[in-house]
Amino acid sequence: MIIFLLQPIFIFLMAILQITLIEFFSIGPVSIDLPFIFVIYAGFWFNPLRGAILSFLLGFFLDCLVSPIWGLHAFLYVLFFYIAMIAGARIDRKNSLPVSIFTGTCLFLQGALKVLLYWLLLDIDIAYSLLHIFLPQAIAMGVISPFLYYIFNNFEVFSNAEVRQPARRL
Amino acid sequence: MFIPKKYRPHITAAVFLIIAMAIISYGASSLTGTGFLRKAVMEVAAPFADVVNLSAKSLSDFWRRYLFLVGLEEDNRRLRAEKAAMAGQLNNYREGYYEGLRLRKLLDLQRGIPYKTIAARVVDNNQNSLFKTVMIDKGTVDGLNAGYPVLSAQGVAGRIMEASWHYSRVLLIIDRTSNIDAIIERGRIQGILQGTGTFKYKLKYIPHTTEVLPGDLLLSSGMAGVFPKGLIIGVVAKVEPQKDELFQKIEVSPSVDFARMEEVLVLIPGKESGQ
Repeated sequence: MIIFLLQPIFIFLMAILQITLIEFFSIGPVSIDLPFIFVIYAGFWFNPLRGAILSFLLGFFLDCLVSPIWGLHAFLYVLFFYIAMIAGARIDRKNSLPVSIFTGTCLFLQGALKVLLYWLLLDIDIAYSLLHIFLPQAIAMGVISPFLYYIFNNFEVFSNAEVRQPARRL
Repeated sequence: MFIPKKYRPHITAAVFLIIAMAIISYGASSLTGTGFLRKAVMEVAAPFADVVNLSAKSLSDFWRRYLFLVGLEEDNRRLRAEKAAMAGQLNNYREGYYEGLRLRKLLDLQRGIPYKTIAARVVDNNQNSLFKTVMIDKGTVDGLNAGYPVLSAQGVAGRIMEASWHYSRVLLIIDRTSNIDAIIERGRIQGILQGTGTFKYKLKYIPHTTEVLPGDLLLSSGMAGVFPKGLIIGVVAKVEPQKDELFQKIEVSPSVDFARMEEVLVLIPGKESGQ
């Protein structure tokens, strides 16, 4: 029970880590998008209600801290959590290759949606970032995502010590 | 609940998507600036972000300092190597300077001698062998031959005992087998200077009736025809009159520092300078 209360705090800390440490894990314009990887992981493995709440909270915290469009990350994270939840039932989640391709594709699509929403809501054109930022980031994150999922999985086992196995979608 | 179980995940996601869109809509329409929730999250997040930033900055500084020290070590190593190279270069220049000084003295000596001379470098100065000899880097190709006199900047050094094409061995006058006709400058008394195998000579055949004092200068007499007349050989160091014997016992210190001799002049007999 306590773990369910602590998870929003972990999510909050993850959002802070993302906004503070991002510069240390960046190579040029490409940076690690840890929250997004977590959202995809939640879509694959978490209970739908729990995963949706955590994805929404993670996006909401990021919106409060950095986003110029309030609710942007909350919307995108819940959307991609849902897509991952649907896709998770159809792809081999333990196989690194489809997981990598799916993660990279989702990250690129998220970038495309950001470009669209920035243009629609703020009338700002950031289309150049699709090829210069989101595409290399999608490739890089797709490659390292299996490793990050492995870390999340171990963390899950550690935090659910009494269960002794990662959380599974019901 | 009336919602079928298989639709629950979709309904849950749809609810949160609608909430998120409502937030976007609210944020887009609200012109009142930062909302309360946003302010609250920022207020709570700021101290955490500060701590994380400070830790990360400390780590980053530590890492930069480490890289700086690594760079410093490399600089240090490079500078040490440069210093060693420059010390070697300086030593070469210093050697060149001293060599220049020695050669100038040799040149001064050459100017006072009416013979043709050839300058040579001492390449082997082994004084520990039975014979007191040195090897020089000139030989028969350069016009040298056995018997030719050899001078250093300080005076008479010896004579060539054997010569190959490019090298010659010089018998020094401190060798036991060396005998030179010499005169004491002050009294013009003639005697035979014999090597002792050490850095001393014996001046032989000087009668008791002749006054010889320590400090008297010895010159080559030019009598035997090997060395030109008037070259400095040494200085009288000690005089011991032998009452029961016919001649005095006289010790002479060489004018040449044989241990440090590096360049010599070889005289070519029968050829005057300018020929």
